Amino acid sequence: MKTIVLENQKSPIFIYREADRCLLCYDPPCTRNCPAHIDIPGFIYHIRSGNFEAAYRKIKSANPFADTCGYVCPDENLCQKECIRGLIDEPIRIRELHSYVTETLGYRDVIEPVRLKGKKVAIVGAGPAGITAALKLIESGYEVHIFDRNGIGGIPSAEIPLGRLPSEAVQRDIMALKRPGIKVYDGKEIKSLTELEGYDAVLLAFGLVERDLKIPGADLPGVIGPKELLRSAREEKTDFSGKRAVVIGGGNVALDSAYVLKEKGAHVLIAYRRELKYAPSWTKERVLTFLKGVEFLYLVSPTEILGRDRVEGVRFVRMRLEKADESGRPRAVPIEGSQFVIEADVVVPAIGETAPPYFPEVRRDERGFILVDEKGRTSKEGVFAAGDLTGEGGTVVEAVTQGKRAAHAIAEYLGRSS
Amino acid sequence: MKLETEFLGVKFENPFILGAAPSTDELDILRRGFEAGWAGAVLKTTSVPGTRVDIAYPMLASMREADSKLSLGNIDLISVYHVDEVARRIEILRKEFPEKVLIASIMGASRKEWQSLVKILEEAGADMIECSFSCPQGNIGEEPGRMLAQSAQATELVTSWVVSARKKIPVLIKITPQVTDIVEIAMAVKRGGADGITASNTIPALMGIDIWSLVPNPPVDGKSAYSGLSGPAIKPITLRVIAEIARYTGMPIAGTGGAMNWRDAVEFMLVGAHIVQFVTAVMFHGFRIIDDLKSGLLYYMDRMGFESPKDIVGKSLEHIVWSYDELPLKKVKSRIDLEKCIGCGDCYISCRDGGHMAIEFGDDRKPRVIDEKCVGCALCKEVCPVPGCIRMETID
Ligand SMILES: Cc1cc2nc3c(=O)[nH]c(=O)nc-3n(C[C@H](O)[C@H](O)[C@H](O)COP(=O)(O)O)c2cc1C
Ligand code: SF4
Ligand code: SF4
Ligand code: SF4
Repeated sequence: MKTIVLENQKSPIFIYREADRCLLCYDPPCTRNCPAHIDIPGFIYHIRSGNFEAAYRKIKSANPFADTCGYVCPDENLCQKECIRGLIDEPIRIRELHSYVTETLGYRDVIEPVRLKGKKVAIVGAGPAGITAALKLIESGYEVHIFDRNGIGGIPSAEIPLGRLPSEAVQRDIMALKRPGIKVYDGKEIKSLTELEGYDAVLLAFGLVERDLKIPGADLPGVIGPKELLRSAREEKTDFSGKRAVVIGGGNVALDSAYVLKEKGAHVLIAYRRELKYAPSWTKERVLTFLKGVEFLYLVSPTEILGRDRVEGVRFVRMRLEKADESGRPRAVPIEGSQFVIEADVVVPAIGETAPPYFPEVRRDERGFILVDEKGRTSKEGVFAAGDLTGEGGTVVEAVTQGKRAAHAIAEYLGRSS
Repeated sequence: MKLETEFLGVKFENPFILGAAPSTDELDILRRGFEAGWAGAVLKTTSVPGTRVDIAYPMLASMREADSKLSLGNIDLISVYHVDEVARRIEILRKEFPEKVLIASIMGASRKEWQSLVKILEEAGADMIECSFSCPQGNIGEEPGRMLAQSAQATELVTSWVVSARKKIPVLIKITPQVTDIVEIAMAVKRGGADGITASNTIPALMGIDIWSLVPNPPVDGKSAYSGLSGPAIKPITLRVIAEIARYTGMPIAGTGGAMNWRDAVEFMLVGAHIVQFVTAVMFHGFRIIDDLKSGLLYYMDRMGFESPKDIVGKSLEHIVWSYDELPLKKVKSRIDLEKCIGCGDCYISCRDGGHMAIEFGDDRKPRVIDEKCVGCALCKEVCPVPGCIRMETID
């Protein structure tokens, strides 16, 4: 990667020049590497000719969460990774181009109304995967009821820090749900198929739950899960001024947690058991967190959370790296006698997530994720799954892609069974 | 020193001068141009007192693509200053800048007008006279909107009037490229007795239309008019015009129309221009470009072993043939350097849809030319984004 973009370029001159740089490649690797397969040279050609309406339609119909993705897509790992222009100078800044289009045009409806075919699909989970599937299903003429216990929008509207993703962007993505044929039941938790009698198909698209930190003291007050932290950080009144916070983990959730803690006034330290280069996080998020003033500590693992009535500190042990484990990364092993204590008022364990144990009717893999085949079908007929709970992906755009895939499979299934 | 040249018996410190335009229409602006290093200037076209010059504003509109300004169009007229004022300025400049070449541009509507203009300006100290035969205003009673230089007869007649009125300074005739046969006009200039030709001028054009308001550019309160197109877009036309005049009349030429940098100027010279006038380039970037023009030309002369700018003049003419019939007929094939190729597939698309379906493009993102199908048109080479990646090979 040659350029790290910390803030979207919004100058029209930049946008036109960038559109002009695109080589409009044949069989373009950018489109291949975009999980949602946006026709990238296609929409860039529309920008060049000043045909923003057509650009918008191309982008938004391929990726209903394009407004969100315009901020949070890890472009350097996806569309921009193998951009041919990068072989001449710099990859085209594709994400900012499509963000510019969706942002300048504001919300437009790109869905063509069709006659409903009289069948009904239940979708559990109104995040990017569920919403995308709902929109694609309505385009095929199927009525949708979508349920979410937390409201609409999933991670983008609740857990991504506002500094990284303006809420207006998510709002524009969600707006498409308001249409005849889609009913939204927010605040409603569904945990098993028996609650969904009378639907012709079911799509599971709910979010994950955190893995627990299994060390002594993990239940002390002051230990806060990253989901709870990230949600509360969106509220004005949340305040961590003067608090010493330790975030445990090396992924993007750990970085986001550190980011919002810092934003809310805490002194923040991220503690990770391997070295930076093995952390499952994106360069841009690391840079953003680093620039916020978060401190990093590598090759350490917590052994105990200390404190009587609430958190007072964390006992760590130093780690060293050994041969690669099944994840391809070196295994971290404790160095005996290297314990030390760091004082802390807040501890955020961001050590991974798994699917909640709902819907016992469908089979899961050994890590607890819901098993799906290449079309997004679960082990139970008529039940499909998409999004983080399949254990694949983990980005908004990948959830969108799984939502599209599942909607396709559901339409195929319902078409056949009629 | 090395850049010094001579044109129509007049010494130029370098071959770059300012063409007739707003830059040469004010004393203080001209002074700065000379101080910056320009060898001379054609003062904006003047006329006899009483001539009406009613300019409508805005009078400029450009043609742009992303960041690049491709050309300029104007609906300007001649100078609002009449000959008395211009003569006064020439006297002042003559004293302040004895080394600079002062060319007076004129436009009249009758024999009397043309001749009085020449006399006054020669007396004031002008080094040369340039007659604007390409202003739609000065048509000596022919159809309105028609330019003098669109009629061979009128061109010859008026040229002879001007030539007979001057005492000793050279006379240039500034023509228009907007004619069926430029050689016919140039021959008329020659028969009229002029010393050289200024080739050529802006080209009549419609600069574009605001498709939402339906009004063409530049918009003058809901109306517009055809503009004179100048700058990069017209360079290829100017090159052809200069080449034809140089080849068929052998007349000394001052080049104007689309020169933006020293490379363009060299090209003008290679087909027959002795000196080159700059207008749009200065309007876009200011007088400062003269530094690059001078050092660029020096670099070129050193690299090519030319001793004087004169050595460059006309050097490419022998490489231009009269007609396509004279071109050698050889087999040509496209050759792609896969080491340089970045795999964009642009050559494949262009050859597929605009050529001869002679390129294959596989999953490995490598283009391959099918020799039996390739006719050698060079479209692929022209669209390839990597310089030097595709070349055309002449076989047999
Ligand atoms: C705004 C403007 C005014 C001009 N005025 C005159 C003029 O008064 N007399 C004249 O002979 N040419 C005039 N020209 C033509 C220029 O001298 C020159 O021949 C033409 O612009 C092409 O050269 P370029 O491409 O270097 O600009 C004018 C051009 C422009 C852009
Ligand atoms: S790979 Fe890059 S240059 Fe090629 S079409 Fe995609 S964005 Fe444009
Ligand atoms: S030269 Fe013309 S015909 Fe040959 S490969 Fe290139 S585009 Fe095709
Ligand atoms: S246009 Fe040039 S760089 Fe692109 S595939 Fe063809 S040869 Fe390669």
